[in-house]
Amino acid sequence: MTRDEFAVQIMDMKKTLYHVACGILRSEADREDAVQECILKAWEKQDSLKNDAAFRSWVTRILINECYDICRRSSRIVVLDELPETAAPEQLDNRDLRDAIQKLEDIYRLPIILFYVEGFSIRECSRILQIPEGTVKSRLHAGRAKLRTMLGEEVPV
Amino acid sequence: MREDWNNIFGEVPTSFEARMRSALDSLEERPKVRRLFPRPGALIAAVLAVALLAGTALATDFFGLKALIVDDPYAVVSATSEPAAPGNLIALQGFPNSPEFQANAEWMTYLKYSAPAPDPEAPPVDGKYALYDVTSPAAAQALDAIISKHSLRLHSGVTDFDSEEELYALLGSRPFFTNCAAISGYVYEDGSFQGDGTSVAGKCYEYQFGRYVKGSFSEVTLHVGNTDDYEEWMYTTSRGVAVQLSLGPTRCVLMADLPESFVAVNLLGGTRGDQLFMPEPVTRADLETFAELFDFSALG
Repeated sequence: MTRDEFAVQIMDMKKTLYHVACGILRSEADREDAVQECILKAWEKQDSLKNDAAFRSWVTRILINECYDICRRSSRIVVLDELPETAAPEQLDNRDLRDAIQKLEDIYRLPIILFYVEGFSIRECSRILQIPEGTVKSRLHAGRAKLRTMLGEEVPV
Repeated sequence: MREDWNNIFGEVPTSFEARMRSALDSLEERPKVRRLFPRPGALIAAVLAVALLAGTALATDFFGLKALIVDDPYAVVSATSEPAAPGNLIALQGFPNSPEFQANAEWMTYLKYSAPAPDPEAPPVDGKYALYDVTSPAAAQALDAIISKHSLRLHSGVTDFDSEEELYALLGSRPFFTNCAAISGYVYEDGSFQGDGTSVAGKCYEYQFGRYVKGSFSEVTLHVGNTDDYEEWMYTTSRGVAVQLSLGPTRCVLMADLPESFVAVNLLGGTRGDQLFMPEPVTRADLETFAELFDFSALG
């Protein structure tokens, strides 16, 4: 893959990368650091990508690793309920749902974002999160239940 | 449905996009690197060396992960790069001679080679397949044929649990976890269950625990990477239960073939550690310690 081809594929993923970063990191600056490192690492390691069709999943996994690295480096294991309001932009179509997702525990939040928001399949989520497909399903199930509780049954699932 | 979730995070901030473009601009073009495979002689020597180091790795009286490989329905072969390493998906319901394993293997083969593409216009399939990856009447028919051939039944209900106590109550079981800090997941109507757990014994073990009751069909699979990278041996716990242990670079697998069920546990760490779950390397001794954390006799 040439640099231009790589850049096109990465920019096509910008929403996905931003949403996943939002799922783990609260600070806009941290999200930007994470995506920068992700892009550099993906370019460096592209030879380890065995299957071009899996590019989107593969880059997403790299980003998740970078986000967790940032959490670990700064000793900020994110407890979202204790953090201030996100710096995400205000022009949201469904602020309540976004806020509820942000309040979910890590193990539920990422599967929900990857599956419902980004449209990854159960198997892609399984690969990205490196957990069995059954676990992805159970986390989606439990995550939806928690969202229903928070939002009073107004979850579009 | 999924469309309703669009845009809940709003637009990507310009500063985020600008950082992406800046990172991309900093990349340097480079020549294509050609991956090299080891010469056959070197490969054989490496396999022998691993076998000698592993001690029991080539024992013939147990089934290693390689024997549990099934077709991977979602391994896409690209025309522009070399194919993904074959055989990295395993079934978790039993050893190869069991009907539960054979049924799942056949189902994966069906999904890989014969299942029709999902048709959004097609009518929904019967609710009895709701807990399975059945997206068409043809797939339902194929699954029925497989479970009939192996005399298995489909799961019909599932209940979530969020604690050890809830799990024991749902199973009607005595406790079988030791030093369990957290466990959550879901239980099927027959007592099969999947749980994400954390136990502490010297180090913090993060794992996914699966119990598959014999006689039921389950389609759970696990990507384990290259099965050649695993050191494997049989271990008998202090409670007298034989378990198969597989120690890999970034994950480990524990399996126990019990009279009424099969247990497969996916430990989220390995000899190289796992960045997300268990950063410290896992040793043989650690894995045997991990096996002691479960009273398999309570799982039947």
